[in-house]
Amino acid sequence: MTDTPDDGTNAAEQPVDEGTEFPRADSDDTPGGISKRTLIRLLVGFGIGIPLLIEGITFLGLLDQQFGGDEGGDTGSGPTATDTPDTPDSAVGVGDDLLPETERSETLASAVLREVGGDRWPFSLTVDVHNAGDTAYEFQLLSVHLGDGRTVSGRTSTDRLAPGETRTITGEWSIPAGSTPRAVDVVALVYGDDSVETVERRVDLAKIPVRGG
Amino acid sequence: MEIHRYEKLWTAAALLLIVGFIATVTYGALGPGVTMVDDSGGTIDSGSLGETQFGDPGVTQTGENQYEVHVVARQFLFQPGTGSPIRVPANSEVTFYITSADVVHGFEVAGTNVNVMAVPGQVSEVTVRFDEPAQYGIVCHEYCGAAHHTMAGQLVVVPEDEYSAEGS
Amino acid sequence: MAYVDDFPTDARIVRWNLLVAFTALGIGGLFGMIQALHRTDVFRGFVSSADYYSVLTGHGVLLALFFTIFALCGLFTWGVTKSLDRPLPSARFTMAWFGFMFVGALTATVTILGGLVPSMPFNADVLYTFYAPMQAHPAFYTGLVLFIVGTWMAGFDWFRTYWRWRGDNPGERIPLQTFMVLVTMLMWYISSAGVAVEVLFFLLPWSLGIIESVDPLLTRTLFWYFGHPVVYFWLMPAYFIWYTVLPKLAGGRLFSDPLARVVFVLFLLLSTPVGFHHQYTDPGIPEGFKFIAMTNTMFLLLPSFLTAFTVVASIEHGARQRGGSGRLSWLRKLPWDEPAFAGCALAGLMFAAGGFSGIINAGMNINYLVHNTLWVPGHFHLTVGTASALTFMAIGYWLFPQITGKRLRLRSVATVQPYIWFVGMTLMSNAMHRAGLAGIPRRTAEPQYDAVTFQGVVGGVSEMRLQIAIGGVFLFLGLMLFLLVIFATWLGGSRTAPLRVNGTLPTPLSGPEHSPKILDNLKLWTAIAIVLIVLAYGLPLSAMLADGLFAPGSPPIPV
Repeated sequence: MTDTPDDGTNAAEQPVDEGTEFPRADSDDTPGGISKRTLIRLLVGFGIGIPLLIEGITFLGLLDQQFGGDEGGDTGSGPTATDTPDTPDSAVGVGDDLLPETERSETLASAVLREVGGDRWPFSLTVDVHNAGDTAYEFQLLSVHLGDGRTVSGRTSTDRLAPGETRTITGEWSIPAGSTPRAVDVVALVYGDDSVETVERRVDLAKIPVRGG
Repeated sequence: MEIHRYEKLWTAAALLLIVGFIATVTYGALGPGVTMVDDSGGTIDSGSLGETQFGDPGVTQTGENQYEVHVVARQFLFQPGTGSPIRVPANSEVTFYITSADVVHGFEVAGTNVNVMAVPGQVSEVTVRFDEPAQYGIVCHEYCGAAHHTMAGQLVVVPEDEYSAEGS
Repeated sequence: MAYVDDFPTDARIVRWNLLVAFTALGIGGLFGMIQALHRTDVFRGFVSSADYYSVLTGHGVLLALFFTIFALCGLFTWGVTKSLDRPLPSARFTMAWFGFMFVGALTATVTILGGLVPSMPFNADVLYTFYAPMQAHPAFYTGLVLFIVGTWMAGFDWFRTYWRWRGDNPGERIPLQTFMVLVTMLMWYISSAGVAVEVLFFLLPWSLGIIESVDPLLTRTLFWYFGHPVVYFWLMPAYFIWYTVLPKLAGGRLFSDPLARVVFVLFLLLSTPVGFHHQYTDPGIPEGFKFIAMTNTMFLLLPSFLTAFTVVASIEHGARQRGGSGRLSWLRKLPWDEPAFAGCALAGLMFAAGGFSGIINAGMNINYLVHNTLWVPGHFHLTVGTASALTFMAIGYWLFPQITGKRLRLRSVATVQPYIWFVGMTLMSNAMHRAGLAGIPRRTAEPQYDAVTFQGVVGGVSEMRLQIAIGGVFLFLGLMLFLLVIFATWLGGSRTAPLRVNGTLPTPLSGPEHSPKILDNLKLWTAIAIVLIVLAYGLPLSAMLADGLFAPGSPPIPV
């Protein structure tokens, strides 16, 4: 098979020094009308030029970091720009009170997130509620808010607690595998003589380590 | 065999470079004394860590400025490290003993050269000097299951005068 | 006469191997783009973070095992038959090894994909390294075994062809392409023994419940005994192309046949006794053996340095044949608008960078800074991801017409494609290297942690993420363009028009008659290779075995 360029002229076959195209670049035109020479300049210019530029900038950056601003730069890690959400200081962990502003105590006894096969993982929060007030009280766990913005609904309630009564409730949610529970909606109902005072909050949760199989 | 002169020069230069690299690494081992994790930690039964020194993982003081930390890596947390941070004082020499209770995990203190594997059945022993107070993150960098990306912890180097030597 | 006319039966096998390779490349590449967008938090809508690991396993296995090795089988079948000028002896046997490989690959792939489909009870979410005690479905291990056995049979097929040729040609030097194939396969037999033992004697029976527990460190060590030389199984076919075809593409001749043989022999000797450099941070392995692995690895640089010289010299010769002159201006005379040439040249250029980042990995105590960080994928996307993958794609443009008899279509697309790949890979790999220096982990669906702050060394973390995502998209685009050209050629190319490409390979400037006969003494080099392996692995392995084959043991933990 002879090597024929696009325009149809036949090149003599050279068995040993087989070039693939004519050495004379300017006389060949590609169908788009760009000359071969311009095409090569564009390809190589951008195709190799951009990578060289990127690597060059990185190299200069490294030199600058080494000899410029930071001295050394490998002691400890200062805080830097990552955009992970910072867990607020008010985040509730196991042992903390979910609604510190109420005079009743709602203590998070446990928070469990298990990795199981499949697309949804079981998540549960167990809360010990003690009605230390002098009127009836009810505490509810509602929806869980996940790190990716989604919400999983649920409703678990202590039902009415008489003054002095204690009850433990466990809210359970089936959350998408791999998602992170960040907050839970809670409602506290304080029963008065003819009225009910409602306290609704979204409580931030501290990190809950996933438990393995 | 005919070797072109340039090729001989090139080969000689390449060999010189190779020897130079080996020398650099050797210097790192001898000069600053950076040792590799090896078999000094011994083996262990990953199925019954409770009966070993990993039964109560945490920080213990072993000398004036010397501490030991036993860490268990498991799906998907470090004990200690995840629930409560590992706390050691500044200006100390800390030896970590790390193992796994289930699958292979990694233990990387981001931004430092503390970077070891936690292999079930083996104990990784590394000694680290902490000079300055700082806060470090610990990452598991070996895939260990579906929640691998949630596995992280913290290491806090506390100013010497603020540190009270309690376990973990 | 094109190859397909001279060797129709073998051309068919080459076609099948390349088509399976390119299909694996397509699926694996799609997964790669999904990963690039997911872990950088640019788009997480394709899969959940838990399913990310199924995608990652697919990416690794499809690309690093199936794409690369099917491509090797296609190229080597072509090379052996062409350089010995005889077909493979038994079409049946050839189909048999292809069948083993194909069924094995298909089985393993289906098992991996099962992880994405909740209704399927099987999965292999264990990544390409399948470390115990994580356990995949037994079908996964079975598929791997079948695949590896198929490759052994392929090697035997090529050896048999060579022995028949030898019978008719006593005393002659082994033609260079066949020499390279045989040496590569010898390396493969020696090195794949490690993973074969790991899977056949440990992981497969363990996943079937026949044995109760395995020693995770031992199985890991057996994997990495294989895991380093496998990269040379990816690289040597690329070198095979750079040495024997690229000079012709540049318009010249190979500078030196003897040096090419020396390079391949060096790979046979040094590829395997370096495995511990993947286990520098592992417990249970004495530091002295890690040091030996380090020095062996550094010497492995030598064949690559020699290759750089020979390949560049050959290309320079070609450029001067085409009218080039001057110290560096001969570069302008090279056919940069020829996709096969451009792809191979760019692949070689990128490999130089990859080699240097590999030196950092090899640097024992330096490795502490990069182990299991994103630096490592940054490195290997330059090497297997470009040196091998881009070379295979580029040579596909050159070889595909010859094995199908169809003229290449969409040439203008093919011309641009290697450059798109090169730019995309620079973007992605550059950012991966920088992210690794900051300590950001690899193999992680969401490397954003509340508890951990990563400090960028050059540039910020969010800028690196964006760069990885953009690079990954460019690469996917480059991949799609390649597949477009191949499919357009395969389905639409004309069988009657004469091919533009000429498959004749010129003789080297310095031929085999100048190379010492001892280089062809394959038995000698194999023996030395084995001795080096015993020195590197003998004591550490026996220490691991001393407390029992299965101790300290771990039961299977399904993921």
